[in-house]
Amino acid sequence: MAKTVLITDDTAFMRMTLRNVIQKNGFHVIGEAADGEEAVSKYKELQPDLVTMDITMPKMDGITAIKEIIKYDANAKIIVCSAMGQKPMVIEALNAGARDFLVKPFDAQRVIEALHKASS
Amino acid sequence: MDASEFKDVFAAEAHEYIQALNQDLLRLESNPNDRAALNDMFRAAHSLKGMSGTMGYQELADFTHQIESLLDLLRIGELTATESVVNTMFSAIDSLQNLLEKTLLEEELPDLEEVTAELRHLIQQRNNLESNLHQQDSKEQSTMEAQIDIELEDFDLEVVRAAKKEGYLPYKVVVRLLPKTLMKSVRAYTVFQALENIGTIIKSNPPAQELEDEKFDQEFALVLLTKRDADTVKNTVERISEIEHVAVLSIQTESAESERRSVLPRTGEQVVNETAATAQDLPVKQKQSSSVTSFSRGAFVDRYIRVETERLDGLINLIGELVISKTQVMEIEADQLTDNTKNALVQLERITTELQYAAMKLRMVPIKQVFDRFPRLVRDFAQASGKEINLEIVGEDTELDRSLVNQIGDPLVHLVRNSIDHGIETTEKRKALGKPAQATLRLSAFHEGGHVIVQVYDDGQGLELDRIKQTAIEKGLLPANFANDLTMEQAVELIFRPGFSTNEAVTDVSGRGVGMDAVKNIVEGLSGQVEVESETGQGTCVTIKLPLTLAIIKALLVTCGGQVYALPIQSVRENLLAVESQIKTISQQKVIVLRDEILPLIDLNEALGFGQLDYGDTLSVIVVESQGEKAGFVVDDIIGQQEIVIKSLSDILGDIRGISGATVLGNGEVALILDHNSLIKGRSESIGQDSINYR
Repeated sequence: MAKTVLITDDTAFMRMTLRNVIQKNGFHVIGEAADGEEAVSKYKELQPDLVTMDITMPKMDGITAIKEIIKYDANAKIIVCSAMGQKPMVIEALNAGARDFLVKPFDAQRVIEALHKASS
Repeated sequence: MDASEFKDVFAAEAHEYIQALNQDLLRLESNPNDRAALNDMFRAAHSLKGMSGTMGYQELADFTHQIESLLDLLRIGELTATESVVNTMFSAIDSLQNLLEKTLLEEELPDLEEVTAELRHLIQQRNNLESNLHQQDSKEQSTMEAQIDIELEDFDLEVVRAAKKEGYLPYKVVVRLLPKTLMKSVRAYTVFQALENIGTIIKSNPPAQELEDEKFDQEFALVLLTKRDADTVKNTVERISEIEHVAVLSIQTESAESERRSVLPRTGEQVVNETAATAQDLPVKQKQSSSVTSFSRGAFVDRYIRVETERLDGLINLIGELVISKTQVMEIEADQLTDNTKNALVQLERITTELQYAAMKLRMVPIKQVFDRFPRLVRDFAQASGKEINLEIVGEDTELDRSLVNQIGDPLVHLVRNSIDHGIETTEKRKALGKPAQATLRLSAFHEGGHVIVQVYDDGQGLELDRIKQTAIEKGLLPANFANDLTMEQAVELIFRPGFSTNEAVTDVSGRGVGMDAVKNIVEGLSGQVEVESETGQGTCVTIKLPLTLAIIKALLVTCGGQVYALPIQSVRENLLAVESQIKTISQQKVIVLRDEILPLIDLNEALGFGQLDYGDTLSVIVVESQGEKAGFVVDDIIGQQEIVIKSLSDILGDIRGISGATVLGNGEVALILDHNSLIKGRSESIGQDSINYR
């Protein structure tokens, strides 16, 4: 059965791009969240196998959301998505429990590699 | 993907890389065998190339690639850093800088054909050489895939031995990232993080700091102590993304000791679970030993954050407001307060002051940022003028406000040009005079009181009094019949006059229409002072004295015509009450005689255009000094000292003579800050000419 993915990003454009890449490569996008709060509540509701998490978002940022999700499920498989120049945040996210990171602009292959590695 | 949002970061980093290239090239010039400098340069060029490509700046990436190729040849020893090579590199870096600026401004890109051709020519030279030596040099073919090695020091071997007794196995792990990996340092961090879960990392090459700064190509090596087997180690790393290749090799400590302590002795090495074809070459390459430091994970967490200066300025401004309202609270009559309140207020005052200093420190940057450009500059000037100059830099860690750092660069460049062009003699002349052939030029910075002192010193010939006199006469600054020899003081005074420049011919180095008066204007615009000390035949020292910060200053508050004004306290010498008998009139100028000194009196009310004060029996006079000239400001009353936050008016009102800014006082009232420099200057010039009336 295809692994389920929850996409978190505050821009619709990025969610669309990611959904496109992920769906085409044998994963199933089970839901989308536009901010950290939504990501946490959708994680609890949908129990996805994988989460992609943007860092800079309104309401609750990605790092806080990662902490919240890990608190709820220590085995959550989260991949943090960052822009260039967000190195300290990426490290913080990894320390908070993210499994891997992606740097924008995304390379489709990298996205899929990260999903595979995180879910294995 | 649109990269334009990263442009600012790109620009800042690209400038840092170019600066680094310049610095390292100077190192290389002084020591053509400096491998560390070459490696640093190679990495800088490589990173810059990658960044430029990501931004879509193809020309920049291509040109950097040329530089990188040449550096690679130098690095692997196929080309020697001769003088002509170094000079070509210097001009290539200049072109690179130019190309970068034009690219960032989106202007027409410069023509780089000439310098590109020179670079190609050098690269070609090596290729010819290579084809000649092709036969005997075949083993160097695979040089491009340089492998990282790692060496253990005695101390590390101790650790390894001790760990072995505890049942830990030492492994060398060599990791190669995929070519296009972004945020390599974070990727390296994930490798460290994963391995720290199953063991302890005791070393890495490059060292942790360099990994953190992304000063590595695609490969890094580390030494891991773990109780797991090699397969587990390998699998752990392979589960991480963007890893092209992992090699895990067990370390044989005993044979390592016998074989120059290399972790990878050519014999007795056990290649574990090796899949890639390159594995066989692993231990051979990377002959130079690289410094390796022990590693703790904490080292990886960033100790610096980049903050927009605008945000910092916002913070400083808010703290300024806080200081003002603190002052407001402190003005409440003490007898209206309980002891508890008073204690709390003292506490508040202390914390506010500390906060203010802490915030000011945020804006402080080392003067290194300015000094760093001088080694290159001095080298170029020295070469152009055929003089031998040794540049000494002292106190480059001295910190000052970043707005000052930005503005002090140009005056310093000018002073250094002056020293080289006018001060320092030619090598022949120095020899004839019995001076060391190599002249000394010293840039120094240090803190003194609440000031930063920056000095430019040279051991040249000092100010040329005769030439200065002659030029001054030609320029009409001295009467044609001026017969006496100039004193040094007079000469110093003259060179600061607008329009003075002793250089007849506009040379490449100096005399570009910026004179000492421009230097003085800039420095005084920063509330600073310039002084020149010079001794004939011995040298010249120019001292620039700057305030630590521009944002908050101590001021003396005075009233005049019902208005409150602030005078920067550093310019105030004393306050006094003058009686009428002390006031004299010389050439229609009111003056005050103070301890045998005659000071012109400036009626502030009048100078600011409010009509004359009604002089009573006594006058409140504030003695103010500006560049060695004193004057007495006549005011209605003196309020006292206070810290004020300077708010610029020039954005709104333009420059107003006599006023340098405004501030908000504790009671909410606005006070104008007086520009004592322009007030005194306007006055003393008229006194000097004995002709303008004191209306």
